[in-house]
Amino acid sequence: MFVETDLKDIQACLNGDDEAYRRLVQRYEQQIVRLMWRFTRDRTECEQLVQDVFVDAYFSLKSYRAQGPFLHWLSIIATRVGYRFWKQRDRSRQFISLEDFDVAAKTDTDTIDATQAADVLHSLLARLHPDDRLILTLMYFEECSIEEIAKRMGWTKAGTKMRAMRARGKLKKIAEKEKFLEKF
Amino acid sequence: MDKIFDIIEKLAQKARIEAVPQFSVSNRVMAQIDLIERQPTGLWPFEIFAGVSAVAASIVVFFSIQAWQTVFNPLYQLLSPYQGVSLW
Repeated sequence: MFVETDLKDIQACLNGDDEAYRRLVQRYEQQIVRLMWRFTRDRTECEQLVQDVFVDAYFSLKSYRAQGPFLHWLSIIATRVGYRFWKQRDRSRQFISLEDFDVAAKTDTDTIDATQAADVLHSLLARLHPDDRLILTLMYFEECSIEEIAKRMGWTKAGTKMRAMRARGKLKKIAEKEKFLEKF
Repeated sequence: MDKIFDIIEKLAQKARIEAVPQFSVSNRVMAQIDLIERQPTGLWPFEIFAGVSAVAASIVVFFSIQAWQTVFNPLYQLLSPYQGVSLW
């Protein structure tokens, strides 16, 4: 949709027109906010992550080959920024206990509020290693295929498939340990 | 399908339609880019240091060769077969 406009703006930006890059940021920031919201539920952190994505993208703009939509290229950078954020944060792992979601426990999955559902799922996935968490986050929240995840992370398709299987196994164990089924 | 994953899938379906915070970072992005671009690259002190190190290394190598030759010659004299006249 924006392909031609994007290319013009990218070219202008590479020629030193910073306003062109501002237009690109404004065009795609909401999509990137949506993606980074999968990596943190904190608004301040999310803002910082979105900012990091666009700053990283600016300095990598020369490497954009226009073989796919600009948003797709941005999503790859965003996923890697989010993954890096999780890895750095993994040392001091903090997550909300599932017991804090008692309201959800009394609610049917069909009637549960979208934010509440996202909170529960986020909290459950937060117990996983960043690699596993990333795969399942992209699968469940972004509906990414194995191929797409592999592409975004620079992993092999077979390796990603294997990781996804293991991640689901680990998630199942965690859910059983946390008596996840009893809450729904 | 496993019941756990059935529930997770239902939660994910709901989560995907979640309202996401709305904010704009364009000003902050442009300000940060501007700040980074204004900063000196910080490479020139390293380049000077590398140059000085290279010069110092050359001097050390030059004197080392001379010193080696000075050390090596007497050793050579000691280790080489005795050239004196045979007594018998």
